[in-house]
Amino acid sequence: MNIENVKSQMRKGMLDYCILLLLQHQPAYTSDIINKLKDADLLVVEGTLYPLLTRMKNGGLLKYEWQESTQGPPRKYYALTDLGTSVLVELNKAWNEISNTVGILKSLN
Amino acid sequence: MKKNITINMFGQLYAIDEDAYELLKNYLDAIRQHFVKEEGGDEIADDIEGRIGELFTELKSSGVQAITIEHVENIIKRIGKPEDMETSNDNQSEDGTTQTITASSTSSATQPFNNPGNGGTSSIPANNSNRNSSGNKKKYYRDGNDKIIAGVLSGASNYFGGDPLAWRLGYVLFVVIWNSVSHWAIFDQFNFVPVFSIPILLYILLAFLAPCAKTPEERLKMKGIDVTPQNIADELAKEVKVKEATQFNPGGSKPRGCMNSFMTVLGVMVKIFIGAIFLFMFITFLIVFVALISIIISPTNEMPSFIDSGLIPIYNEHPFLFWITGICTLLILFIPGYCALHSLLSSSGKAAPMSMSQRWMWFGMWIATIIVITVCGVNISKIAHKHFIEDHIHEGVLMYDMDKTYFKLTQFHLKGKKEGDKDVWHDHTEIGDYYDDRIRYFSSWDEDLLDYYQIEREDTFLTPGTYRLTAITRTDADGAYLYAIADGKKSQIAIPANGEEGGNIWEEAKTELNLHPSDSLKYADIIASNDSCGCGWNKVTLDNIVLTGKNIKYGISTVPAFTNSPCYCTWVNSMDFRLERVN
Repeated sequence: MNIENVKSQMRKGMLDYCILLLLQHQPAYTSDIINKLKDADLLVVEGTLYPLLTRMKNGGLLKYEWQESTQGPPRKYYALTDLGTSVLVELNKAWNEISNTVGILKSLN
Repeated sequence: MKKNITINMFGQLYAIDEDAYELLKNYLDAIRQHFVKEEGGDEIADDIEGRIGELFTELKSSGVQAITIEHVENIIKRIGKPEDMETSNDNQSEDGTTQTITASSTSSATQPFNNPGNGGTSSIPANNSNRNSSGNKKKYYRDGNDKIIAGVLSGASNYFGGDPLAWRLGYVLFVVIWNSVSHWAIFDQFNFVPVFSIPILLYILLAFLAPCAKTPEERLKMKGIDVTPQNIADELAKEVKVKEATQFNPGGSKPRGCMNSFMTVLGVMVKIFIGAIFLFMFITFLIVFVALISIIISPTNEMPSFIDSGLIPIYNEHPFLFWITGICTLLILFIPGYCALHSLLSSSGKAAPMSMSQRWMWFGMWIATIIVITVCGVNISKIAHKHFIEDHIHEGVLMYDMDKTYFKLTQFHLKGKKEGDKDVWHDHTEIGDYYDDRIRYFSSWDEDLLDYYQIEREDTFLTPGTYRLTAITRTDADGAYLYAIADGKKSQIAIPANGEEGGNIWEEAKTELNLHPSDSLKYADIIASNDSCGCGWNKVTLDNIVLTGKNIKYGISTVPAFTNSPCYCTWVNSMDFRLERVN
């Protein structure tokens, strides 16, 4: 069993959920999302995020609007859609279940 | 010193070194390629490009004047290789988020972008070792950076291994050996192809069709190294170093200088040779072009005299065949000329080089025109042959123009002939061996034909009376007769078989010359033309042809059923038929 591999699989699986969590209270620029995910150590290379955001946007979970920047190019400003919010509720539930399961398994020892 | 250019990303201008730009462009191209199959792939690539723009802006605001290759390398490291970015296809194998999160505490991923202590070069991992790993196949490219003519052979040395110099010397040797070998008898069978030039043609074909490795990415593929951003950066750095080395140290290549100058001279010679070929093609093109134009503007149905007049009826019958042939001829010459011009322009930077698909298109078109012109040519020659045969069927057999004219002038017809004569050419008249070399006479010079040979003429509206028929004839054995049919009654006389010697014409000429010296010119001619010994010609006379009606048929026959005697002769000649009324 390749530990790095499992860890990266876990991160990958978590990434969608984490993005929804990040956006649940206020919208954010892509660069903000990147920075927060990096701080949380969920992102190794930035390039991973872009396909994910586009897929979630295409799946109707996210929406964005263009915001002019003072110095750089215009930036995408991401926010949750209603569907995104309801999916987040679902995922929260699932997460609790998983967390419970893991907790139970841990306490068995 | 580095060349610096300005790029525009989403309306923002950034100053960037040229090599850094190359690297960035390759990277973005790789990203686009990676997401090309994905839905919204363009958007993803645009996002990443936008992110790079953001990072460039950060650099700019932190006081960086020009973006260097190290900056780009750092950004690539930060954003990641295309293969690190999953596509939706990779994702399908996962079935939901069932794993728990384990917050790893290693923070190696967060790397300050603008790190002055990180002096670019160290960020290039020195792993050249992944040659041919992950099944990345080597591809054949011409080596644009190491070329004497077109880099075909240095490309081969990259593809198959070995030193380019060895390949070049080997090739020259091969051409020389091929040239001497190609003159051997076996190869002479294939002389319709300029066999000697096959290795040279191969070179030209490869120079035209094989792509030239110009970008670092293509150079990596040429060498069989994985195309990753790191390797691209490596390759680019190497190229920059090589360029700088040759720029600042022109004498650096001294050890190989002698060989190099030899190769340069060789290259120039080959270029002159190729140039001469193209010049020749260009001139031919012009000639054909002028010819076509002159056909177009000349009055209808007239062709320039240098085109065989036998083609005119075919042109009238199938003009489109000629048009296609003409256009194809122009194309066959135009296409290589255009491509040569284009490659000249692109090598001097005045035009963008042709893409592979363009090259294949031109090549395919060229081959197609060759096929079309061959088909047209075959058809034209078939039709021409048909016309020719039709034009030359006279008296039911194939006849040369002179024979046909002679038959028409003398009003004789070929009566006896064999089945199948339509397909065989025979001489029906000959010239020489009599009077002088300008006099033509009937000939049956064909052993197979002889039993069938009969020529006949019919004189009409004659006055009844007694006629005398004379003819000058010769034959080699018994069986040939001079005959006349008057009132349905046949009379005939055998032609003396003198062969090609003697004969009474010559004898008579000698006598006549003595009797009438004033007429010496005519008889002296006969004597001289008969080689002073005669050529077997006899004057044959058929007397007492009694005519009560109007028509007399007369001629020569060897047909046993007609003459009532077997034919032993193998040839018979005749001329100068005269039918006179005696009383």
